[in-house]
Amino acid sequence: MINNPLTTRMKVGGLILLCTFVLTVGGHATGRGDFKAPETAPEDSTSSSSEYRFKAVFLYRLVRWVNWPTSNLPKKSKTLTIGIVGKDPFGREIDALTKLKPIKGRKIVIKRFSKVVDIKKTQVLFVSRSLTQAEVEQVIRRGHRDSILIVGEKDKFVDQSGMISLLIRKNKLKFEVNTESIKKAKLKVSSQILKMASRVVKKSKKK
Amino acid sequence: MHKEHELATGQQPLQGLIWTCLSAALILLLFSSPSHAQEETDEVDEATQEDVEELSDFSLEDLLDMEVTSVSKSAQPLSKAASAIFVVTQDDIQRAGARSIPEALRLVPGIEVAQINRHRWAITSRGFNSVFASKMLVLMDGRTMYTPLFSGTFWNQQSTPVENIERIEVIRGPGATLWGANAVNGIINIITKKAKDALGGRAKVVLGSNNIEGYSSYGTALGEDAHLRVYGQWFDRDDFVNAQNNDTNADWDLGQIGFRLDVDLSSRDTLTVQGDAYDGRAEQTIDIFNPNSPTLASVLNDTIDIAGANMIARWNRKISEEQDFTLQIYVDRTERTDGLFKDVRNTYDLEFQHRFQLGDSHNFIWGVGYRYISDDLEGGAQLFASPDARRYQIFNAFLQDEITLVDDELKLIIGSKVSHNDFSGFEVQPSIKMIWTPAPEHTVWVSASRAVETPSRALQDLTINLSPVNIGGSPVIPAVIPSRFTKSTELLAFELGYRIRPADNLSFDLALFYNDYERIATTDLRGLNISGGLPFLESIRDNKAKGRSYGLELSSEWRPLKDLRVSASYSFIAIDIKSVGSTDPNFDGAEDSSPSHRIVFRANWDITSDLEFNTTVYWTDKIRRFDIPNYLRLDLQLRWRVLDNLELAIGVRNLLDDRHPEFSDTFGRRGSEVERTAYFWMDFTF
Repeated sequence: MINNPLTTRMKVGGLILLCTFVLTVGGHATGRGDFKAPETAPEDSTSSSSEYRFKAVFLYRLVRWVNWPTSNLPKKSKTLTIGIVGKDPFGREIDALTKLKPIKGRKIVIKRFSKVVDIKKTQVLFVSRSLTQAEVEQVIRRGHRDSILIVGEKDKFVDQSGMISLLIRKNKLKFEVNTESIKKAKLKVSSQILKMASRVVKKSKKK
Repeated sequence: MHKEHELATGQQPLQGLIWTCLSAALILLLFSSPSHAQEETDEVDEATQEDVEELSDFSLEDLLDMEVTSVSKSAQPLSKAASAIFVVTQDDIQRAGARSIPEALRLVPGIEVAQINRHRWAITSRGFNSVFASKMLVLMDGRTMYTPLFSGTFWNQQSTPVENIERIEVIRGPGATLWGANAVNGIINIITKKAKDALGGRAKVVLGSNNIEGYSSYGTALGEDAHLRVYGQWFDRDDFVNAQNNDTNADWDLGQIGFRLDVDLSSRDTLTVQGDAYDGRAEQTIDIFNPNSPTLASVLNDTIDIAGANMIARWNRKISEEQDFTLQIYVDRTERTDGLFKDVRNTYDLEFQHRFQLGDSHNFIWGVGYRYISDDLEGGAQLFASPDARRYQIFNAFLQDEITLVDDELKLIIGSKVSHNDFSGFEVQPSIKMIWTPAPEHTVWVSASRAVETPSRALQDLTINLSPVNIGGSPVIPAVIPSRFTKSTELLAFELGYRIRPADNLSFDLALFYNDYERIATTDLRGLNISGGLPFLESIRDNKAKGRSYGLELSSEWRPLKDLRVSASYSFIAIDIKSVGSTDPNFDGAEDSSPSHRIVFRANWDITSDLEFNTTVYWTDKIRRFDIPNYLRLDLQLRWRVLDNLELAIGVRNLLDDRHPEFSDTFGRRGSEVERTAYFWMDFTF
């Protein structure tokens, strides 16, 4: 044990480690610096309903802190619409929002759009995972044009001009914000919200 | 001639199969996804409305601070599985301080893990444990890790760093219908993290009382739709001592590098390419037969040289919500060389799986697979194979239908696998299962299945001459003679399971099983053979035993507080083997090779969001076959996230005693006890 003839093996092993260290450090220097958390929760397609209960209630709580231009939300409007585009992950959880207390005098209405072309007037649009990258881009353009708050749940959604993304990290709900994209849609989000965000993107990545 | 061992025509069926798969894939490409109009309705049941209202009372800050699920997320879909399934997550592995796959498997009820020395384990599911335990399928990302040499796993060869693992899914009981060959008593399915789930750099150093280990990885995005991770690990683990407190010559070191590339080819297609390469060395001391020694015996201080590489490519297409398929191909090369034996092996494997729904109530899954193995075994006087090189193949096809009898309440799952191998020919492995969910928090399942353990290369071709024993004052060499007439061991398994969640923070999972085995492998005494000038006491491989086993596994998880998780599991097994004209003195060895009772208790306490305290307690009953007393093992760990990118942990294993034995090796290889060890690690991300 003590007179362990391991020296050559140690050299080989050390070399392997050194190589990966060099690779990682080198990669880091040239790579993007904003990656973190090696143990991010795996994306789970069979997510529990409690995850979407959280996300639904989060949306309900969030809209109070968002201001829409009158073009999309007239002052006398009595309702505020949350739309879901693509396959609905919420189920009935989100319909329960319609019976909650109105927000700033506006009752919540839920609408479901199975395809991008079906999208009708709405203030918030939740982008389902089922949409393709191209469809997501289409939805975001629509959001910029019609002042719709576009909310997603995929990793790096906000890096691709999504406005807000709801993520599960270590079994907790986190959210990220892209202020540039929100500004482009002529929406205003309270600075209170930005303080709570786990990440604020001020510029979308160039394609 | 009983069977042809060289397969000159191996190429033709392979080509046929490739064409079948490709044409099947092409047909599937033509399907298009039907779009669904979602109906709008305001009907919300009262319970959901109440849950949402309750949650809406919390502020945004509170919402961000709450745990989303009360019981671990991965456990959710499992509640609907019609088999005894248990999942060990990455978090479980780290909290238990496990540094290898065998150590992580100790957490699983129904899985017996016994360490023989620093690099050798006996691991089995539901009984029949030995260092050559052969009734379990071990898979990593779809690649089989057990060797066809003896249908078991060389755990000192297959040592993927635990940091790569996302979760280990363990199914006790037969899974032969859906899974590959050898899924007799259980399946260990190791799933590594996707490249995008480990982005950025990571460097981890582990210092232990008798080991030093390093792990490093880097994950990055390659453009919009591709992610790559590369990793490297190296460890040097010193041997444990034996009962006399002497070193046992069982040091183990190994280096491994690898990568995983995940590409979203389109919104429906994903491609994964991954590979590993490793090189290592494990020491051993063996009592051997030595024809040149006057006593015919000597002690060999030896080293096993371990090397290997593998590469796998997997294409998954999601045609619609209702159907998808996967096409996978891999190559795997393993090399093991020690003073007695050299084993070089290449495996080529091709698999296709397709899942689709038919109407509202049928969910089909079917698949075909082909595996081609070529090996080259170089032996000596102690251990030799005849023929020394052999090529063999396995074909299989399976179909399973999950039929919904009553929506959300009652399901029937029927299926069968048909396979063909060069040793035992055609094998049919059907199963029928029923799952009943009377309420969301109750699940009852029942199943009956047939599974076979096909003869391994060792049973068919490998002669083993063991270290001499003294009979009447003169040395005699026990010799194990292979037999081409060995048959498959057949299992009929009956299982019953019940899962209940009496409260949001409490869950129980119970599985009962009864297994009936026919044609269990035996080594039957044939007599003394002195025709070669030396006295060989010959035993020949056969299948002259039958038997049954029954038992239960109970696991539970409780979260009394937001920050405290307590889980406990209990396993019981009883085995009864009967000879069917066997002259094997050890034909019933399996009866006494398993601990009758086993308990694992875990408490994971998150003291603050950055500091956690983990306790794991294992109690394992005695193993009568080797006079191993029962043992209690207590592990403690303190894990502290000092900075956002730096984690420190300190822990001790086996705190309560200096050392204890867990199992014993046959074949003259000397084992050791398991010592108390302490460790410290530093995990840095950037």
